[in-house]
Amino acid sequence: MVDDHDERETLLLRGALDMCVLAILDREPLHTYAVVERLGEHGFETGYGTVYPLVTRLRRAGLLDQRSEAGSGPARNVLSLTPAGRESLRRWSAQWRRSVARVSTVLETAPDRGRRHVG
Amino acid sequence: MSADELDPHVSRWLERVDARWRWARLEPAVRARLLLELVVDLRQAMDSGAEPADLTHLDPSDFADHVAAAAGVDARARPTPGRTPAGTTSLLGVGLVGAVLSAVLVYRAAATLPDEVWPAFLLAQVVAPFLVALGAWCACRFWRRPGPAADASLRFMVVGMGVAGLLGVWPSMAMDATFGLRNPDYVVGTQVVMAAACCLLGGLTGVAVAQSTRWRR
Repeated sequence: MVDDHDERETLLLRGALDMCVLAILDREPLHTYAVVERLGEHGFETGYGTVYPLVTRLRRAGLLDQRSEAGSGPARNVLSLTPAGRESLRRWSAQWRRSVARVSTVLETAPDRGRRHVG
Repeated sequence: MSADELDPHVSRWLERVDARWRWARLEPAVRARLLLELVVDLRQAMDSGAEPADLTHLDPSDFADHVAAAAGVDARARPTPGRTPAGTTSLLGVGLVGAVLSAVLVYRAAATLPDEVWPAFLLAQVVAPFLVALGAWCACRFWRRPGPAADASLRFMVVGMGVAGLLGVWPSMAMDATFGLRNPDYVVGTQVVMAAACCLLGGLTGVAVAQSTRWRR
């Protein structure tokens, strides 16, 4: 049982982190630290030490591709989704929405049951 | 691009990550690839305004393990012939070596000891090396320095057990020869004190090795 509010939220979001990384990179190719920043903008308190291994795993799974992008300065490596990554994002998103819907259904029916016990 | 071009704090952290991969005996080519990718990524992060502390907040050993596992090379579980994961392996092996050493010492000492102190002496001689091993092992585990520290500590323990055996045997034999003491209580007391000292010695050594290895890394 996890009582601490922040810890509970961390646990809830941890399982969705890879999906969120894919979603962020689906919008635009970014390098790893930029992904960390984007996650932070969305309220994820996730550090580089967590995201870098995750990105490595997604690359190994063939869901992300890393390519060198030439610019005015030194070449930069940016991450982008592969076709397999897009397909995984689509499936994981649908799975997430189904899960949220199930949990929401339980939460919406629970108070009624509670009131019956009280009454 | 090399690690030297990075912030000194990040470079030191990177060295410890690499040390962990080296300890895990990753293939040199794999290690070089992982390191190069990480250096490039860290450099980009710093160019984007990342503070060194933001990049290095995770323990380098943990980070190295996570990256190696993510890359398909598990640094902690990777089988390496003749090498066992630190802190988990070797209590049994170390104990076996200790028992052999003790047996030799006990055998040699047995001829000079009176029959009534022989069982207590035997017990203490077998227990003392285990206490040394246990002390150093617990110290390494407590300080959470797996890897080179625990490895070095375990190597020390094998030597330490021989020393422990000698420490345990010598006072009894010397005192017995010098003063002609044949009091079983005295011999047992000596062995208990020496066993406690051995345990303390093992623990302190474990801590010292763990700390010195951490500083070096």
